[in-house]
Amino acid sequence: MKILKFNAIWCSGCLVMKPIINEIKKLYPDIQFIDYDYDIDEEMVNKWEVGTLIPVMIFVDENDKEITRLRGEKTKKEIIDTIEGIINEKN
Amino acid sequence: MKKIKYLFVFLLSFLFILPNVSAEEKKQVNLYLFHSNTCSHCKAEIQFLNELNTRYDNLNLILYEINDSKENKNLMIDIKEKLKIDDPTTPFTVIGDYYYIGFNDGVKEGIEKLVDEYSTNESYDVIADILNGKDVSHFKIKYGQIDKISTIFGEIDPAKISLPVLSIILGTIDGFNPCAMWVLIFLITMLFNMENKKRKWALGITFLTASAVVYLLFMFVWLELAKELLTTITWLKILIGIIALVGAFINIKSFIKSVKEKDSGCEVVDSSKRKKIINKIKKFTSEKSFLLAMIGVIALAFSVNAIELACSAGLPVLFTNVLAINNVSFFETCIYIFIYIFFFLIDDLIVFFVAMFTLNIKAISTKYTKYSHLIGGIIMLLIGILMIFKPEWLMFNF
Repeated sequence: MKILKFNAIWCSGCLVMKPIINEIKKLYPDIQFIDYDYDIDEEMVNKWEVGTLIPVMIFVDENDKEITRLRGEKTKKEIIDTIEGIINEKN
Repeated sequence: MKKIKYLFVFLLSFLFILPNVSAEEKKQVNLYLFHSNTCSHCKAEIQFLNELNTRYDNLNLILYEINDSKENKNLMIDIKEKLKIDDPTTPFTVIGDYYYIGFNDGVKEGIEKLVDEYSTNESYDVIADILNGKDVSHFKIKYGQIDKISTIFGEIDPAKISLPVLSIILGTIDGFNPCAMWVLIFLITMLFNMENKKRKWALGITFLTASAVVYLLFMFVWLELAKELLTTITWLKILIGIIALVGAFINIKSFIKSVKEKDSGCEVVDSSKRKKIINKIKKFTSEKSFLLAMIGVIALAFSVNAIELACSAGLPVLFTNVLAINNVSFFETCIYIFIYIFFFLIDDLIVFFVAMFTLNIKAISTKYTKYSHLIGGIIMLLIGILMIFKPEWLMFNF
């Protein structure tokens, strides 16, 4: 599983999420986190139809197919519940 | 027995004399009112004085309408000059040693107390002396005492609370507005890339100062406009009240939308404008010439805060209108506007200084900004309704 993260330098919500994501990275070292900047990586923003509310986290499988996504600021628990949900579904 | 009879008759005679004495003791009280036929407060005061006159037949009302009569207006100006009163507005009331400008519950109570006091005690009629050409430079007129007044915040003592509290509340709510926060965060991120520490600090502080100056200019210009127009054009107050209600509707609607949407985050609006600002910031933070970088930052602050004003213009406009209604002096105006702007910038100041000291930007969660829409919306709703139906309730301080 991979997690695509769409942020922007100027987005206060993204800044608030930064420490939370760092903690989750430690919890799930084998999940790949890929960061995209809303203003720089326009192509990817359009490709994944990110919309106008950020940060956005898109969970994709090995075939680059979207499993689910989280929009806006989320708590650590909400993100962990989503990851666990995907893992359990696979097993 | 005879002695008791004599005593009884003696006491009885007092009953007859007393009313006459009290009638004689009631001294004539002259109350001068300079008013304008377009001023709603003046109408309210005249209505009150007519009612007061039914209870105090010794009250002598001398009214000067200044909107239609140039002569009356010049007289008011002359009197204010002689009495060293720098506030040009109406209603302007003089009674004995005191004067009032503006009218509300507090002034009402103050006037009644003075009329009652001067009905039995001597009072000096400075206006009569001025009209007779006498020199009154020796006389120091005082602003009328206001005990308690009732406003939307309940029974309060104007000396302790009112405009400063309103300045803080509205400034803080206005500051929570996310419109310009993203620019500051982006600017700080760019500043992090700079090696020169002094330049980093200089550009950041210049941006914040220029932002404050933009707000300051806007609020002073609007205040002068409001002072000039509000006191003469009644429908303008209603129009501003309606604008406030529209602002309230927009704010409350965006709160409801953000609650319904469940997700809160950064709304990405107007990509082209955002990109322009981002490129500008990149340009001057990498600018070799320090002077050009400074000019760039100031220009950025002016353009961003002009947008911010449009984004949240409701609150500064309303605040300056409340100042205009309260006829505060220039010095007091500066204090209230500085308080407003300080609390408007306080979240930016915190984000900036924390970031510069920790080299890590701590931002405020977007979950709170939606509440600034709610609170701001409710306050605009309240002030908008009062502006239309009860402008005098917005009079706090004197």
